[in-house]
Amino acid sequence: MRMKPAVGKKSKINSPSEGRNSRGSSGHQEVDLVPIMNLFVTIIPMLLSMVVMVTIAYISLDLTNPNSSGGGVSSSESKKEKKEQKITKLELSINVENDQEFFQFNKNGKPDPAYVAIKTDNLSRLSEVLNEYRKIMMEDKYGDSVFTEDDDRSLPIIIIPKDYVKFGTFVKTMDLCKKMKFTDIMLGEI
Amino acid sequence: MSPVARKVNKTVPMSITSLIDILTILLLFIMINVSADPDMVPEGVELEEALFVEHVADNSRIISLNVSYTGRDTGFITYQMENSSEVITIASLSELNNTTQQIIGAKSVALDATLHEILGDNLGAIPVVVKIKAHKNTAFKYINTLKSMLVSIWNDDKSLVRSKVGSKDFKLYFATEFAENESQDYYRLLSSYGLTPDVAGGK
Repeated sequence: MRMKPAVGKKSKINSPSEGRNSRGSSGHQEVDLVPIMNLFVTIIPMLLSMVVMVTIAYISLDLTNPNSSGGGVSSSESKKEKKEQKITKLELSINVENDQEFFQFNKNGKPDPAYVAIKTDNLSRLSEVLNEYRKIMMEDKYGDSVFTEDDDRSLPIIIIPKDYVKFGTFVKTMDLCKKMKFTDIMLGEI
Repeated sequence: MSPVARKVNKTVPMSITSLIDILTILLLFIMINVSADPDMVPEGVELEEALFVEHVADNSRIISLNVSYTGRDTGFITYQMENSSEVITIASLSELNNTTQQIIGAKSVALDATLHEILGDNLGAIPVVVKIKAHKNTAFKYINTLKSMLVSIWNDDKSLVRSKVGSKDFKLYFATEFAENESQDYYRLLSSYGLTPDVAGGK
């Protein structure tokens, strides 16, 4: 077993080169970094294993009763516009049949035959349909359908997920709706 | 003629000073990041990816509820105490599955008591935000039940649950895994939505 040279005592020199390289006992003694290195080597992998490399974001939901709000349009307004083809209430239901999830749109309380059974894995089709509704609803509500990047105008939509819809599908639907300016999202019940 | 050089077996000690400097900085960086972020994803909870971000008001009182899902209608709704590793189980998903209104009412009362304990005397003074960190494969009916339980606690006028929380207003936030702008995930998700960066911006 090799012994470390003790401070103050004359160390034994085995070779000429060792003698040249060794400092005198009065010179500074190098700190033994081996334990610190051992500690680092243990701590760093442990901390790295604890770090979660995920940035969390949040999507909020308005818990207002959709029946009372009527899709953001007052009842007197909706009566006046009843004869016209305006969309006063847009519902997006997420259904499940035979483990297959799909979207269904309801326009003013009635199923829209133009857009039926859009599969949930076909989100690009959903964005196309939402874009169509967006144009109509923006025209109705604000008088123009042109968007700018920092547009803070919002449109209402009610999302109605069935019991066995995956939560992830619901989140993705909300995310896409918000991206398409349907930021006034309400949760509907079946 | 040059003199013959004497072969010297000289070992140069490796300088590890810079290595230690790097390790020290790395250690400090990791420790700061680990300790300063209380908003962590619970183990076993896989979040859905999203592009949209909504910021939670700074002055709000935040309650984080976790929904783990282990498949076939099994999992737990839990709350992790702040600055502690203590986890309070609010309900198991199997308990909420096909149960009567009475059992859900009893669970709501228990949740009410837990929230009352957490919120303390701050009720009504500051807005309350409920963050739900749920596994992406959770059946939506459990999220709906949890939402109904929370609503019954907050709007105690309309429910059979006699609320201790007694607040009238709270906001519900769903946690997602954020695909950072310009990242590979961002473009992949954008492409799956059938959007281009311009369209995503609203043009």
